[in-house]
Amino acid sequence: MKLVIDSNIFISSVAPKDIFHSECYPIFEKLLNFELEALCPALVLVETTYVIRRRTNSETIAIAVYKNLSRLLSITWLDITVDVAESACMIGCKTGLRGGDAIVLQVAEQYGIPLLTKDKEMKKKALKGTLVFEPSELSLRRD
Amino acid sequence: MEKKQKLQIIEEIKRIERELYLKKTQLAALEALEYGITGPSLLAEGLDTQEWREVFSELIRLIGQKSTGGNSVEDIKMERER
Repeated sequence: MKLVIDSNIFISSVAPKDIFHSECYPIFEKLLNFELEALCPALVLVETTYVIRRRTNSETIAIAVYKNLSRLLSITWLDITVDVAESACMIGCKTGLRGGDAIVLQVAEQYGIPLLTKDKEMKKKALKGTLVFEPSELSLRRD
Repeated sequence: MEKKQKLQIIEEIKRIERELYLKKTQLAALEALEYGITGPSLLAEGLDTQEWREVFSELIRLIGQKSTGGNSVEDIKMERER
């Protein structure tokens, strides 16, 4: 199964005291087991690293999170090229979402795969035809 | 004809600039991997799922020790607003 995974899912997965950790970690575990494939804009990698840096106040931990996520072969990190920016602009103009939200949604739209996020606003405002799920809606069983 | 040639050159410059940008991005990503000291116990690579689980288990433990918790949705909303 192939999904676009939003930053909030990665952050909740690696931060055990995050309120969504127990819901998001099983998805992340599927990535670690190479049972799931993710396509993400590089923005997600940056946001995840920054939030972990701020929460832990530790450069070492943040760098380790960045390095491991960037090397994990079940995740493909996508460059934000001018073409991607153009598509994201169009999505942003139509939906009124934030720029970062539009960049993430753009990947789901371009590749025709669902987006996994905990952000209800993105789900509500996503373009018709783009599937947006929360982890609890994906019946991914751990066995 | 002259105008057409001019447009072709402009397009070519744009294409070269895009390729240059992509190469610079690739180089920066490789250099970033070398940045900072990350102990071997905190770094995994390849296809060994056991290794990946062990490394992230240790990282998650450390993050738990150093942070007080939070709401990732609110954190990212804030990140994308400022």
